[in-house]
Amino acid sequence: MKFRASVLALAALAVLTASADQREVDPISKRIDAIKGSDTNAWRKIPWTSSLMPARRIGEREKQPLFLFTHDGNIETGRC
Amino acid sequence: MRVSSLSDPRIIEIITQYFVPVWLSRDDYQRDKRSGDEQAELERLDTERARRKMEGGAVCVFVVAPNGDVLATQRVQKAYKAENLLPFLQKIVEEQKLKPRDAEAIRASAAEKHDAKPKTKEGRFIHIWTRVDAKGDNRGVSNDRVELTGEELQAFLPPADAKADATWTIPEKIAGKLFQYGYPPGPYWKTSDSKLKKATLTAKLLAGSEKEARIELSGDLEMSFPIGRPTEGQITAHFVGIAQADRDKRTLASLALVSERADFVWHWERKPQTVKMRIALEMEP
Repeated sequence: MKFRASVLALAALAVLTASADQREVDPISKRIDAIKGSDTNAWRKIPWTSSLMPARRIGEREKQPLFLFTHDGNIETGRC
Repeated sequence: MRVSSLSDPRIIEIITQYFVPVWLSRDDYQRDKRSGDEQAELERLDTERARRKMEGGAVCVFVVAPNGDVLATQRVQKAYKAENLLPFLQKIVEEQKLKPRDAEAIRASAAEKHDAKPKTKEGRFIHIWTRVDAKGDNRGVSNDRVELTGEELQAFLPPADAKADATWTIPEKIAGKLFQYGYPPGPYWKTSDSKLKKATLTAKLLAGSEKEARIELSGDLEMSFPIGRPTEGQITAHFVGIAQADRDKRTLASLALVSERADFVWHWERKPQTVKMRIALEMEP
């Protein structure tokens, strides 16, 4: 009986420890998500073509104009 | 523009429906050099814009006709506002009597997203995000990525015989490799311009089993980062984090760090201006 109670106590302790560990992880993850989450990433929804020359060929083929955005830095990393 | 007009749903809609969209960086410090054809075409467009005295500059919106003629341009100082860019594009749609693109053509012409793989065996990517919490100057979020080699990742693992509360130091070279991207998002700024003064990371083994280890991390960053002048920007940050490791396989399962305090100090008329930042780092799953 004592053995069974000890096993149950250990199991409960393991669950509590796991929960505690999870709580330790969650605040960091939440803060990371809050930093990387942005309402300013919608520009990625635009179906950008890979580069200027393929875009020119596509525009010519489809008879559609190009929207060309030239910039400094690196738009993909947010360094522009 | 990235964080303003180009992220406006009305702009996304009109560009997607009526135009073949492409962006082009005038810099190549973080990208492959452009081809000769592309360079020649860019110079042709710039020359035509200047010859016809159309507005614009290096950072600019060009609308280019299917035959290559420059139809219209708008300088970034206007185009960053959706209120300016939207009527500019609507006018072109009306004047050119454009019809919406075929959905399949849009899908087929979009650049494929490539999932890059680490270059080194057992290497893993760590993402670094930064953002500034200043009012009125939303530059969005930077998202850089650095690869740590398998050997570098081993530095985060506890010694084989380590017990709970054991501590060890992550080599400064590795901490610096991670922290060098901890500068605010913005234009013109090269990672190579950042000068690390301090990059420390210490690890502490938390309670775990013989197979798994949970590791508490803390670290500090001091870095100069110029805006225009070499000594203008100073970044100080304190980080906390958690890593998990498989002690049997000697592999790192996760790694996450977040700034508890991060300040970017720059100078305006010789007076220091402190901007609160947030920095996060996480290993790709």
